[in-house]
Amino acid sequence: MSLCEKNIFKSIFDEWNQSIQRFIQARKIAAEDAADLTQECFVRLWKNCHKVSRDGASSYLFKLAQNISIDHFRKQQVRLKYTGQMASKSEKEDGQYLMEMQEFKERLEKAIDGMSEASRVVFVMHRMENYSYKEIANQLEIGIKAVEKRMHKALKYLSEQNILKKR
Amino acid sequence: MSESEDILLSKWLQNKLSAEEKLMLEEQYDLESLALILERQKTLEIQTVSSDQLWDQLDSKLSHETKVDKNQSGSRRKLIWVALILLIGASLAFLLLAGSEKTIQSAKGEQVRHLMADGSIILIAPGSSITFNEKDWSNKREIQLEGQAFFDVEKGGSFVVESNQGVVKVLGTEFEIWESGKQMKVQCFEGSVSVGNLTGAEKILGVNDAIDLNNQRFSDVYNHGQLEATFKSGQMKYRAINVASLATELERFYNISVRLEKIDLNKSFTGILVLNDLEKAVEYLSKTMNWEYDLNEQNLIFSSN
Repeated sequence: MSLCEKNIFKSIFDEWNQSIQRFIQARKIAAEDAADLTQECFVRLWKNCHKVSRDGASSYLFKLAQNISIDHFRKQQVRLKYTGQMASKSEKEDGQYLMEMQEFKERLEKAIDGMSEASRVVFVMHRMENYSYKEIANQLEIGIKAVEKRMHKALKYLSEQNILKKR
Repeated sequence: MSESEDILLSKWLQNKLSAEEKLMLEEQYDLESLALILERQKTLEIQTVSSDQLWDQLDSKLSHETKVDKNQSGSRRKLIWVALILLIGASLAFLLLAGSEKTIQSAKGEQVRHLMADGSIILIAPGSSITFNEKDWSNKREIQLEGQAFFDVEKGGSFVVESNQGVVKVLGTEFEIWESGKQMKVQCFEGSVSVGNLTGAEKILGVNDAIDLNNQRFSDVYNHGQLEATFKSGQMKYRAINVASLATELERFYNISVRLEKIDLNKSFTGILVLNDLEKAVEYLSKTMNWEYDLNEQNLIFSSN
């Protein structure tokens, strides 16, 4: 099963492209730029398809994404959207609730932006990509303790922001 | 703070707190609200471009890559001739240029990321430069640095950075060097590095360690508390930097011209320089140093009150 076969490559793309986009955006890179950089990662993976195994593809992609986004101009905001899993039907029709959630979304976006990059990346990977601390440690090539510290910092920052109430 | 206090919230999130730890956290944080925030956060994700849309664009790029490959194999014989000619040319050029060095410089206000042939990455801070022997890089990983840079070193043989004030030998992977005038600072982020001054004294830094070298004298090793290259984090922390050097730093990061009027040049500054907001940076410096300032496009004048 070589990555150089288009259908295998496409399956890797389907499995990872959204994660890589979010991983890059967690570095405050705008959605469109993140999509371009994600493409660049996959083009490079394609060029090296004979050197990378199917199992090694994801760590290769994350490593590329990390390197590629290192010096990318970043002054954007992390943009969030609803997962679609939100709330019950009655809540979806409740205007007051929707407004509150909209305000919550905006305050959370701001809070995520305010985190240090290291904490933001760990927070997004753990909370929005459901990676375990161990998986994050492996992808970022740091110790689990460092992941825990970064996550602690992220949560500390969140708790200090006035996210639940109106300012 | 005890060693494990800085991971308590992570443990809380995983339900791994002891009763005692939980009490301690509850005193400091409103855990109920935090839990509610995290519960609501689950309904949100980062916006991305749809997979289909991205694949369509990517697919055409991949086809192009493949075509290039096919063309290459189709005219392989021709290529061999071209390669031979190039090889002879390159050998001649190598003989002529052996020992020549490559310099990469970042302009003021800009940073440059350079990928070395071995995969090491060097992030050159504004107004700084590195020089190395590109051809001999695989045998001799040695760099001369002027200014400031962050190094993410690939595993391999020795990796040495010489600056005007000292020599840093890499025993591990990630570190940053800053120097200005007779001051130098080395911060280690991963692995360990050895820092030597010009008189041959040497100190070893481990993860999170930093050391200052002032007029060839070492400070004690201290914890730098940074998670990434300082200039990438948007602020620089200085300990007792001379004000003239501070002005040079401002010029380097913001590409402006700075004048100090009626200011005692023997004074030093300890504190933070914000790197992404000139007005904020200037405002902060003027308050800390009790200076007045006049900022006008590319010119900044500080004067003593």
